[in-house]
Amino acid sequence: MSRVLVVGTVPPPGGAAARRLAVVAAGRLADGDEVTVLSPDPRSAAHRSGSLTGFALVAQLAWRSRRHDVLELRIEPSLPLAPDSGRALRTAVLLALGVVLGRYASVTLRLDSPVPIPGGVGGRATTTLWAAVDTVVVQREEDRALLAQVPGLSAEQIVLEPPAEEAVAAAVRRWPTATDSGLRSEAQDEIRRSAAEERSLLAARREIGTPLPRAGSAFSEHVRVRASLPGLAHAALGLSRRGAAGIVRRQRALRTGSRSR
Amino acid sequence: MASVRGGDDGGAGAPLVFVTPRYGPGVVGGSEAVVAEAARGLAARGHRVEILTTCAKSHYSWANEFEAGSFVEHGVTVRRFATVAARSRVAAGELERRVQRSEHLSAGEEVAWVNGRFRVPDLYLHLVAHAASYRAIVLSPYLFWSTIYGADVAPERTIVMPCLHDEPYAWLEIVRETLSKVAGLWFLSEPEHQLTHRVAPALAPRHAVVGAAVEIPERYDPAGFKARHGLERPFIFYAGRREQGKGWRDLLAAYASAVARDAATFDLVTVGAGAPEIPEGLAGRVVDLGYLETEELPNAFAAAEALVQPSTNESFSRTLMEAWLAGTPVIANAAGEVVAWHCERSGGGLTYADESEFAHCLRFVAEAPKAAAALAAKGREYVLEHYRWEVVLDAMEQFLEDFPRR
Repeated sequence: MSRVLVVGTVPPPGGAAARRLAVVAAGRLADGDEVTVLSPDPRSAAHRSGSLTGFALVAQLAWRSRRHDVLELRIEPSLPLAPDSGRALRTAVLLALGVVLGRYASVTLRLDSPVPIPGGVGGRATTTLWAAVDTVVVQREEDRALLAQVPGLSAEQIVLEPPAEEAVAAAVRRWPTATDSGLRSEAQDEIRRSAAEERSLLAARREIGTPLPRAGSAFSEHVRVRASLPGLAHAALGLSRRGAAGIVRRQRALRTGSRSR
Repeated sequence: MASVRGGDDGGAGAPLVFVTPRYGPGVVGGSEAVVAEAARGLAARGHRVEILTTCAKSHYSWANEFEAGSFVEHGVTVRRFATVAARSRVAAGELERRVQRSEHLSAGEEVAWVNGRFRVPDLYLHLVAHAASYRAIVLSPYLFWSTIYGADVAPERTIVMPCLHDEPYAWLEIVRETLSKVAGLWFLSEPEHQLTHRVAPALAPRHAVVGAAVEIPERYDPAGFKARHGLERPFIFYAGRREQGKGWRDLLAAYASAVARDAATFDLVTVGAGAPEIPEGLAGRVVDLGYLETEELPNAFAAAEALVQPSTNESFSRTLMEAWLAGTPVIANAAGEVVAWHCERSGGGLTYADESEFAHCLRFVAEAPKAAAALAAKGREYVLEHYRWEVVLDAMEQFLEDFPRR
């Protein structure tokens, strides 16, 4: 059993990228790992939340490295760097981050697209960062090509994982097609149905209160509530069961293939 | 004061006059646009047409920004008259607040309310002097001094195009009287017609839904529009007055909610009058382009992923038509009787009853773009069938054939 720290925004906020990270965490949990989710957004169904920009992230990762050996870190806007970060701050934070990542046995970076690192993925400041990473997961071929040119990263370390679940999420909402004869009424019905479902979900979330701080409980509770609502059995976290299973399978394959340190 | 042409006796060859509180470049408003285009359209068909208006550009200040006088534009004689400000802004403001709260006003207070925004006595006097020489006097919209006082001059030859919405002003006694005493009424949509029957049961017997129309642009330049305004991300579009009466703040709230739900993959771009007062939390997601030139506006509609219409105070909603013409789907407030009617009748627009449904409308546009485009195509067919100027001007001419009855 690994002790996994998952860092990044998870639902309800955060859209498809957040759902993807949640599925990663869910997969780890299903595998018997001990998982802690740390989110920058207090609305997330995470175990912990707090500022994760700049040195606050570095401090959090350093502190939590004592209890965790595996790190799944999502690189998203303002995590680790705010878009308006200056060159000096960028250099200092990325260097410090590279150092602190070295404290984990296994590190996976999950990059949003376009990669939200101000100043780009290259440069001397990122060298330490890439050197401390086992795997980098990117969403688009352009990002993979960009990273392949970065010194310190090998092609094997870069994994392309297209955001297929966005299409799955769309399928869950069952939009009519352009050729449907009752296009407007069907779209309108689906909007009303989805909105009603969302209202039920929010009401249920209000009933159970904010996510509990105990390890594992908040996230699983979030999944449980979604799955227990009528019509949502196949849509925990906004994904179909098949879609979620596919993502979990990819994560497992990824972990199996990752380097041990 | 300019005089009308000699020899006119109000007969079939006499001029037709439109009275609108604002006219000219920079003026934003649905009824103002309909009046301007109808006047030009009828002039192009050989009618003698005049527009009587004020020197005001802003419907907030009613300050005299244009020069008084007359000129000919697009075959229409335009006569401008200076506004006179309210006697007491404090008293006017208090009456306005009471009307907004739907409190009962005495007859005297209603008159004071009408006089509280602007008055344009010179225009009134011009009508008094020349009413008999006009074939018909068309006043629009219903709630301003120019219409309520103008209807008093020659009601037997007056048509009001009220552009009525279900709002507190509509239920004032002075409005009911105006709608009841004139000889004719032109409505822009069937829901407006029905609402007017509820507001004024003793409606002028001669009334018709003539509709309104929009110009059909020869071409659109969505890519150029985005480039000219630095818009790199896809966006939804709101065009109109940024004020609560038009649902602007409700739209901001719904959009903020959609952003929080991560349903808003689009920015919100807005154009029009009024300060948009964008909340700090939406800075960077809501883009205000201010006032757009008439030639540029169709490009904005074409560049948008969807038009949003949050207003419940519409008697026609030109922006819906302009969006559909540009092949852009429409997302409208279900509480807006007229816009919901258009959406359902055309099969080309979606409506939302709350923020959650608004968010899902955005998701539909983002996740099913082909279906959204197919909806917009239905909307375009609807506009071309019902709201071309040829159709509307035919209806107006038919109405005018034996108006006023002798």
